[in-house]
Amino acid sequence: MLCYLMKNKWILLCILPGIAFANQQKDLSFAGFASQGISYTSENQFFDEEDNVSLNMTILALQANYLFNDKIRLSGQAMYRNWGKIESARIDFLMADYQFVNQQNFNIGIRLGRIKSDLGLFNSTRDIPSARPSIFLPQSVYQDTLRDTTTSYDGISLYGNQVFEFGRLNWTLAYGRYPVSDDLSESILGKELSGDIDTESNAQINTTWESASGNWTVSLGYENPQAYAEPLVDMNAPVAMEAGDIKFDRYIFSHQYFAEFWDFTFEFIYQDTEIKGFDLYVPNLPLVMQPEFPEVTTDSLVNSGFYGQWRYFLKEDLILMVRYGRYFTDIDDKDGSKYYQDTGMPAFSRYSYDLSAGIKWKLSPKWQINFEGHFFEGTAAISPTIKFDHSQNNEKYWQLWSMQVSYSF
Amino acid sequence: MWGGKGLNLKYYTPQLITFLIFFFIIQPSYAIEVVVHDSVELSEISHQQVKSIYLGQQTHWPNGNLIKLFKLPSTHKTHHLFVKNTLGLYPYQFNRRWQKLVFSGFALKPSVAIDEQELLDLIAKTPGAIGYVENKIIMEGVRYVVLFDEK
Repeated sequence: MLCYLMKNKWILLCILPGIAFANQQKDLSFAGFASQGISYTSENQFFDEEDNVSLNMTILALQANYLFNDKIRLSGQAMYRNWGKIESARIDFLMADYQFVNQQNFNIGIRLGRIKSDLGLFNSTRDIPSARPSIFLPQSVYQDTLRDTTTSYDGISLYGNQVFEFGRLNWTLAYGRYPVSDDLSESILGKELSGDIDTESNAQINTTWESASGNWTVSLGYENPQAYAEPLVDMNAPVAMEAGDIKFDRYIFSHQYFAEFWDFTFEFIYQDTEIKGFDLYVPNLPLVMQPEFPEVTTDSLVNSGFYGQWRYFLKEDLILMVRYGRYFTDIDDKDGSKYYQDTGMPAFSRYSYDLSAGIKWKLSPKWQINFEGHFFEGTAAISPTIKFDHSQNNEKYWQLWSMQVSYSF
Repeated sequence: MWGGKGLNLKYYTPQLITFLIFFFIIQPSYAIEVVVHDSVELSEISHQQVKSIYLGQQTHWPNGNLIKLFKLPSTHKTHHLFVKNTLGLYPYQFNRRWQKLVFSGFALKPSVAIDEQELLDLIAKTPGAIGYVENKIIMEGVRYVVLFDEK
């Protein structure tokens, strides 16, 4: 962990306080949090590959805000995350924010730098314990396997809001590139075929409509992230894979209803995936002798998922949560039977149902404890997009239990 | 009490006066007052604009000056009244929205004053500041703005 902290990425964030102290400014503020969890996985390798019980659930974040002048605010957050198989330290966001239209009924601003994705209700705070409903977000919409293409992008965004008599509209138009880490390549290609992966710039549009009374919202968002992957070729391996392109057309619809003692959330994701290349072959074998491998290339593989979540506030600081969600890798083959016929791979690797229940207890404004259980059928949410080895995720029914303590300031 | 000699109004006068005082004087003082620093060029403000400001959606005044946002602690009675009556939200909605705004970097979190007196003192010495109180105290440097509903 220390060696991660020493990495030069962190220096970037130190620039903010540096400038501020140099200027003797008091327009500097900090926030942050630390959280530690423990989880138990009954089967499969969703979380930690070594053990069923894992303490690899540490997240630390520190953020700074600095008012550069009366118009421009600089804001950055560095995050250390040790989550199951993945340990990473990254700049979560680092941007300048300038709101240049300020009227009674509408505002428009611009952001430049590394910006959090605002698609869906929880992408912008998917790692923030105090701002998400559970320790593990609903995998039907927020798959951890694709988190690099959902978290924050390097680019520009225009945002605004407008008040109407019957509600208010918030909108974001963004253009940027998702920086990727090695774990995206593992998620797309699988561990055996890791390699280089890169992303291209994409557009994002997000609109949220909020009722005048404030008790319900609906949002619709769209983005089209795109990745290019080149697997490492090991000539001694039994199978190798060619380079390829993967494109997503991602739509997320969200709805929330707020009552005094409960709230209800529904989200739906529709993701049209185009995959080019990634052909399998046996190294050192003439073309004519190559065996026939399952086809990877597709013009349109529609992944889709939804969940409904109901939360009840026993007290203001004691929240119960029940959630049910479904995810399908291929909407035209929901039960995976066609996939099984074509490839011989388990049908349950193409869908995933998740029934979860949890409790969140806010001991104080700073301390929070979460406890939750997930009952899964199927492994689609944890399977790499392109992978033919399901031997590590070979149980159709499995459970995940988890507890987490967080401190934020 | 009610029997025999009929209703003795004299007997009930103190209670009646207390009731009238409560109804006409104390009751209106439960209303939330929106207060700004004297330099803010504003005499009235719409509910919706207060909401835009307190949801982190409007960061500058119409003349381009920075808005400095002040709030009372989340457990404070006045804060609850403000969130429920002025913003029209449940306190948990307000808290959750700010958790999201702060940790996504989309807005600067409001400064917290421990009570109404400290809030007024801070507003009086912070140009561009806005806050809310229940007890209207006239003091130098702060100005109360009239809340209105736009149609």
